[in-house]
Amino acid sequence: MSADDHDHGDHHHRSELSEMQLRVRALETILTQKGYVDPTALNVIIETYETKIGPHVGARVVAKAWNDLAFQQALIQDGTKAVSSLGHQVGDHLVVVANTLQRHNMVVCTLCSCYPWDVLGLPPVWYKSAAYRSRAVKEPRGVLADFGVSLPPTTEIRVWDSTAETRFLVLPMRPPQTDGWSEDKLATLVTRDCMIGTGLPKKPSEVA
Amino acid sequence: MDGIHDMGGMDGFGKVDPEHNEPVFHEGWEGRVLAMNRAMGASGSWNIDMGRLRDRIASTACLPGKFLLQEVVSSARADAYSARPYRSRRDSGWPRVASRQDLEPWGVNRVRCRACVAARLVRTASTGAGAV
Repeated sequence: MSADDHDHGDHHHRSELSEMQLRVRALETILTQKGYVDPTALNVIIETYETKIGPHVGARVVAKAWNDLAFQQALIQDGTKAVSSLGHQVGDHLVVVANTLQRHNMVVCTLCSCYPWDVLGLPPVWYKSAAYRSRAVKEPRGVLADFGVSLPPTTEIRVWDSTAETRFLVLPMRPPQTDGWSEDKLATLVTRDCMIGTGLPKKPSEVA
Repeated sequence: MDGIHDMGGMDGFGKVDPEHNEPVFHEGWEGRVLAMNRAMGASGSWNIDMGRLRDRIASTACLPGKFLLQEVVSSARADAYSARPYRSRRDSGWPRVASRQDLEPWGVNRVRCRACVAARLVRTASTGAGAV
């Protein structure tokens, strides 16, 4: 229903819309009437981000890297090219940074909200928050604690600041006791946060 | 660099408060606004610099909320509300409505990139500066 549809019998229903809902409807109506947007096209875009582009894409990449060392090397060497080889188009320069026992990687955008949309979908609200953007580079261990993550003091934490051109994806360490697991099963261990570096992969016992 | 656009190392913003099981969209209107943002980028009616201007003026917790402000102020008022008839813009071939091929899964993301790249090209051409 466009914002200027006026049904005199529907006042009670319309009064339940919030101010934001009314504003958005009004905006969509204007842009549609002016010929800028097609409401059915908007539906396609929404469905795309709800079902087709999201952390499940990144999880597949990570799971393959865990099971295929040649792919893992290619991924670290040129993330954009390696991810594209799986059929996922990457619009930005994607750099994959691998966690080791000695080094944990974490990604932030201190400037705004640059994020690897192609492999993780929409950024979560906290990624864009002032608290995360300000503290990630200054007090990464404290930020990790906010996520319930504690790393050994001997593990170096490296924070990568994203730019408009360069996006980062963390390749977490493969959890132990996953030998012989298929890529599909491994992907169930890979969380969005562990690909940003604010989390760790699930343990096998959590998905069994 | 200590402006609102470069927050690295600033104090006083408290702890990070992750939302457990955060949905893609918290409310339906967020998806509509994001989609409008993408579609406006595809049409060439919006670029990321308009959004950054908004960031300096207003800050909201959610990205779709920012997009809404961008669209309302930067696009709707500046252009959609203008006296210039839509027909003349349409016949000139610019801006255009997002086409079907823009809306395949990866095309949707390219729409975002197009908006960013367009902004960079404009900036580079006008100032000789490099990347954003």
